[in-house]
Amino acid sequence: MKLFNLKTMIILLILGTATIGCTRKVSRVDVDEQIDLSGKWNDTDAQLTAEELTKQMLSEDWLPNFMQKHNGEKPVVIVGFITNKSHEHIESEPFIKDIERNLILSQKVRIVQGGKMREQIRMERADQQDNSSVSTMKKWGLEIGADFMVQGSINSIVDQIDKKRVVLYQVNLELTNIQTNEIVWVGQKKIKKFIKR
Amino acid sequence: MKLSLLISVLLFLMVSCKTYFEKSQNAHTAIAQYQFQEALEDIASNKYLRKKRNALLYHLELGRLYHLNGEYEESNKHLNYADDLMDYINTLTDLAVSVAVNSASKKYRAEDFEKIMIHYYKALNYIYLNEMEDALVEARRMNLKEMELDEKKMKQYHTDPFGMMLIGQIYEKAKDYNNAFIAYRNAYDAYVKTGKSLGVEVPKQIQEDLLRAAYLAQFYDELSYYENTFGKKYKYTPKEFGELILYWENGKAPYKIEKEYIFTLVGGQAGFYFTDQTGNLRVPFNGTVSNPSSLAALAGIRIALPAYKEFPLYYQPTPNSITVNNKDSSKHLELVENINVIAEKTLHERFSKDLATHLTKLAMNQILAQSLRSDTTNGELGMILGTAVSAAGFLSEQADTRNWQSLPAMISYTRVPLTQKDSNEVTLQLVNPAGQTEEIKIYVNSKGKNNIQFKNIFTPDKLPGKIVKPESINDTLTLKPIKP
Repeated sequence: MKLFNLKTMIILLILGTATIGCTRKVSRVDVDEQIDLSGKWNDTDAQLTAEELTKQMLSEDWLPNFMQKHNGEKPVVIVGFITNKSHEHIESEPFIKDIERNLILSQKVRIVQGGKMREQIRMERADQQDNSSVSTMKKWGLEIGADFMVQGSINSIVDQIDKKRVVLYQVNLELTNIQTNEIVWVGQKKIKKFIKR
Repeated sequence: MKLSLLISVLLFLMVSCKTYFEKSQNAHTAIAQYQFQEALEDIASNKYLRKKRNALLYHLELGRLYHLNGEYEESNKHLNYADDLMDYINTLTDLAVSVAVNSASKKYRAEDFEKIMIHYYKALNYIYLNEMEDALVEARRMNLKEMELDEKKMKQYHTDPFGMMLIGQIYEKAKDYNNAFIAYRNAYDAYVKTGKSLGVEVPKQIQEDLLRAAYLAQFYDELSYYENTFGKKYKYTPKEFGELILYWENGKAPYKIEKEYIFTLVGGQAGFYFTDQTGNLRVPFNGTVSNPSSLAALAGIRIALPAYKEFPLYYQPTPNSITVNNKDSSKHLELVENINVIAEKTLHERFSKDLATHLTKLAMNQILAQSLRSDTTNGELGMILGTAVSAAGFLSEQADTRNWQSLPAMISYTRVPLTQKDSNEVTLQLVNPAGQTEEIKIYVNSKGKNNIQFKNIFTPDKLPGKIVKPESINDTLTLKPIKP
């Protein structure tokens, strides 16, 4: 009898652990909510940085100066490469898209497509020359040339000892006048993280 | 009834005592036969590796096998995942498991040298995929791992010169000569300081690398300093058709076996210590007991420790000559990373540290068993419990025999200039146990002036007559062994 009880207990225990091991809880969270799991560069960092840097960019003198010279016309901006010089594999595309989105929402500048997306647009336009009706076919040579280009880099400095690590991310963005090669604005955003492993 | 129950428990525990090597032997036999796809399938479906505590090992093995199979993107998926897992250190639960059960039951945490090797393969994968920005990330990550290693100054393996050299090469490929110089200088210093103890000599090529990086970074003071140190004048010669950095990975990494030691606790007033049967090992007892007399005559404490066993090398790590387009390159492969030696050293160092704690834990277990047995208040129950505790302690004592087994045993390298446009035939001559020469031919397309290309070749064992070329593999990587 005693042995039976022991057996039952062991089986129950094993079953219990197995059930605990199988459950996984998933809940929806707000995209703005800050969640830090591993301490690595994440979506919150990308969003925060893009937001702050675009705010910085649009509040500087280059913008009113340009508009004054060009009868109040908004400058056209293209977002170029953001080089990853950090110690983590960071996808620069979501970050670039965040910057573009913030700039468009501000309605202070106009943004033109760059990179691979631009190639695709050009392919579509080429395709239209053969397959679209003449009245809807889009013409070549009417793209808006950008006045300024945003370029930048994501850097990181790591200091660590034992189970502690301090990571400083430094994102640099520069805005260059494409015609004159003049740098009209330099922005910087730093994010410091302390990670205890 | 009691006896039969005990025997069945014993049998149950004994069945699961196979080492990791035994549990994955099919895959490792397949690797030795250059059947990487087969090894891959075997590892992917290995039930033992699919256990949560072995996740890191599972992804390391898969990452390496996908790399061998020429599937670099897939390889990096697994290696990046493994890299993330390496970042987490042991939790309290892990520690509790290793103390209460055995170290083989805790989560696998890579050996220090495995933490460097992962970046070697990740970097090569990114380079083969033409993703230089990500290859540079690997160089930086490797540098951080080197810094972590450096914190363990007392250990012999507190720096990995090979890792530093690789960092230099990646920076050099990216034309960042300043960082390349720093990495080469660190690598050179590390080879001089620790090379011998890690089973390698200072490679001659690193001198050349250091001088070139100093020249290209325009560090002329450093250039003349190292010219004096090496006793030679440096002359920069541009490489018209670029050059090839060739890594030769020879043999299979050592595997872990379980080694058993029986210790006896001896001592008296001055203190207690453990001694093994040979009497050569002496380990202090670092626990406290209320009744010291219970410690006396504690004998037959069985301890299971992992030990490495090396695979015999088929090709000799002697200087191998290399020809480029049938002309002698006057270059030889030089041994830069000796995993056989590093693995042995790290394990030995770790265990001499942990042994005292481990033995004390076992001794305490024995004392508990003894006191239960001598407890007469519960009649026979005390005896049974005592035997059970003692038997459980004896049987649960199992060595952690896990290690990244698809790694090579040794890595050698050299740099050879390519000599023509388009395809270059690079022939590597290997010496087999019979002293005969066998050849491997690699075809590399020139990618322009001063461009650096990387290739790694793995010879786990005797080259088969024909190597099956995986579909996805880059044409230039095709190995064409020629029978002697």
